[in-house]
Amino acid sequence: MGLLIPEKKIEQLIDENGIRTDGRKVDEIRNFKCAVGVLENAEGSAYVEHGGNKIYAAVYGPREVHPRHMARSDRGILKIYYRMSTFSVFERKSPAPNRREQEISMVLRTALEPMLFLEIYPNSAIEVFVEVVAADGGTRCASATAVALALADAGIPMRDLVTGVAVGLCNEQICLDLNDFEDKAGDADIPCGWVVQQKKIALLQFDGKMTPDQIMQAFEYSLKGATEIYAAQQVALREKYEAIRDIVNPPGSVQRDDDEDEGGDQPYSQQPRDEQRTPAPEGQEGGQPEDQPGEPDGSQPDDQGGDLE
Amino acid sequence: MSEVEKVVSSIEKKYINELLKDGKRLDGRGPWEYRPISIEAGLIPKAEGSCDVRLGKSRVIAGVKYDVGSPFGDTPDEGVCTLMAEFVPMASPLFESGPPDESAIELARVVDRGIRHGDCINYEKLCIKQGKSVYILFDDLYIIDYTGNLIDCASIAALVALINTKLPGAQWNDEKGDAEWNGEYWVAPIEELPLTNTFVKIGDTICVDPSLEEELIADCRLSVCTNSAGLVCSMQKGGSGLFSLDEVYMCMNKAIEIGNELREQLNLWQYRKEI
Amino acid sequence: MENLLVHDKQIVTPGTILTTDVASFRPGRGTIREQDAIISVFVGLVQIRSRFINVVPLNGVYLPTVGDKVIGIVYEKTPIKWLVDISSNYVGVLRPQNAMDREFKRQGRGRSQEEQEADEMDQFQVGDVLIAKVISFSRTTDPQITTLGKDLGKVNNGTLMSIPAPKIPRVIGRKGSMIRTLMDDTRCRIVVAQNGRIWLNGAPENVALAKFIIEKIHEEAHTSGLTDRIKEYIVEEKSKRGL
Repeated sequence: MGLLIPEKKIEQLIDENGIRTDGRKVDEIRNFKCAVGVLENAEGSAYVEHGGNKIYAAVYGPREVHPRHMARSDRGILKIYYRMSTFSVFERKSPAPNRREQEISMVLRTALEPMLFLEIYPNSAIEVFVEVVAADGGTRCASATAVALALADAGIPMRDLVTGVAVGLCNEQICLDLNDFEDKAGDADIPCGWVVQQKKIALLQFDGKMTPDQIMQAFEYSLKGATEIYAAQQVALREKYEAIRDIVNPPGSVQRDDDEDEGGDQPYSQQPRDEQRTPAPEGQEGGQPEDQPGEPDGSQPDDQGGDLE
Repeated sequence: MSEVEKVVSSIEKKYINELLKDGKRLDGRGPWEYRPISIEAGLIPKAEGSCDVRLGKSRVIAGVKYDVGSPFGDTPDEGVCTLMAEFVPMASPLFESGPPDESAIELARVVDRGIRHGDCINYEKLCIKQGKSVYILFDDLYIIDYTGNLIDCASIAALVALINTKLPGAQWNDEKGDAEWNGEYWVAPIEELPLTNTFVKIGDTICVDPSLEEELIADCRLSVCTNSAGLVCSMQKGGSGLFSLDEVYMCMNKAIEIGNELREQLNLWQYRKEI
Repeated sequence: MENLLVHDKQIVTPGTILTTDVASFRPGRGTIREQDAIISVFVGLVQIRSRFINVVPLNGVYLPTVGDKVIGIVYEKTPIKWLVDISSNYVGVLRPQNAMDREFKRQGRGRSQEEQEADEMDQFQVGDVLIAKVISFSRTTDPQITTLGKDLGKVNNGTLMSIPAPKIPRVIGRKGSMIRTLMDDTRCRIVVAQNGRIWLNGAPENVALAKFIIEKIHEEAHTSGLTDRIKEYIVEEKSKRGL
């Protein structure tokens, strides 16, 4: 009983010319594509294709915490639910959540938390749902990439994005961005989540046997790969808006003086705030937003001609 | 951006009802008109069959996996197909994480019954060795966006994923006492196209393919599954309102008509894989 | 402006360094100061106003601010207050002393104080749509709202739509110019609230037109020349729809 054809495994991961099973060199990343705003209901959403991985991430929040007793009065909580679809892998995965998914959910949370300003959301939750519909090695890294995109798309203030890419050891060579075969048959697997501009690590796990020096070299490869992916993330976030702008404001077209066109009295122009607003928390390393990010304009527009029955 | 609120407002109910009295719907559709449907098949590499179906902005991703195992005692010469639906919380602020709730279970069972009784799958062709070894198909549905009428969206997705399924061929090896790969592939034995049409009753008006608002304010709904032979294969009434027999009769006949129109329009056999 | 790494109205992403000239520029809304740089915390539009660099977010959940007009839906009624969904992670709280439905008031003339008070909580029911104002709020307590005041109270007709709160200023326009154009040209009554909700009333085909145009404003909120383009869209759509 069971499957008629066993899962394909490859032992010779790199050939004599240094070419891997999918035609890549040891320091190349796989195909990467991403887009944001792909779902209708979520506040923010993202879709990532990384190698054969296909991953959706969706953000709801900030919103009320359920169950209530999990709420924290000093800050918001970030909850990540990482799940893999039954058909995402070679042998059907049971639909029930398993420990691996729980662990990855936690690892993703600790990777993204430092990027958020949770203290501005007491008694609230930011929830991120990740669904891996197709898996191909490095799913947790690609998920970190997707979660960061979805949070940014939701308009949640972030210090920066997180970018995931794994690196490992195959047939004694350091290889960037392991595919499924390499993930399973390789000698070591290091999932990484980078804050690329700071060259800092937000997500890190390791399985295998390597010397610290080898691992440091692996990090160099990993950061290089992450840098490429980070650029693609930024493009995707902007593209949603730039695409529209390019159509309606083509470069070179004459537009009316923009100041005449601004909506409302400048909502974000001046400091200081008026005292009715809660001052933003102060003094942490790296700085807090000087003012509450995302605050809509408090000033009332003139005269909408209120009409009630 | 979600327009889903915790509770449907009273003015929305009033607004929708007033429009319906004039034969109009919130999004301008006629009472028997479906929202745009788009289908992409074969997108999940490790699934034997798969599809991504959008009905309006409701969206279901379906995938089929197989296993080989023993048949059920009362059907020793038939394979098995089970259907599961997961209401992923990303689809709506109304969905909570956790095991499938009654809506998810109802949806899976309604879609499953439609396929089972619609003569859709030739279960005998899924038999490898009578009494010993059969194919077991898992048709799993993931709802990733909810803007009304998941039953119909899921019904199309479940069917297309099956049509799109390519299985390794099997032969029985007497010596080993087990099934083994015969070196070839074949497409899943799908022989009919059962489709479900869901009607909602709002006040005295009945219309098909409810949008989210229509679904949330409806008094009740009736899902009718029909196949291309013009037979009703399954029905399910949901919600706590009442249907008259005339209304049920009308819905059944409308379902046969609309089902055929959809089959014509969607041309679902195109999603079969080449061998 | 040569010390800036970005220009006004540029679309930036979280972590984008806007300038390293922290002597000349101050971090405004949507930005933070990290050591020797001012960086964006949003996907948004750069906005440079003299020494302040702001980033206006293009999306986000509504954060209540005192004085804001909000459109809420009553979702729970307790013996002493109404809980109102104001499209935020914060719940709007409406207490009877801040609520007066004008119909209720009218019917109440001639009744005693005690009789009125006994029926206070009957004014609004679950599902009612209210146009209200935020009267107090802090991050650790839910915002208090009121329906007392000009143009506030329960609405009995019409329909609602929602867009992200940060885009609402565009629907209003400079000194209300956009909303006035919308109302005049679509012949609808429209109330735009800071929490992203918009109430509309009118003939169904006009309401459908107005909703379509507001969605256009939502999509193009970050572009220039919007007011003129919206006027064109209205003309185009009216002709397409035979209005």
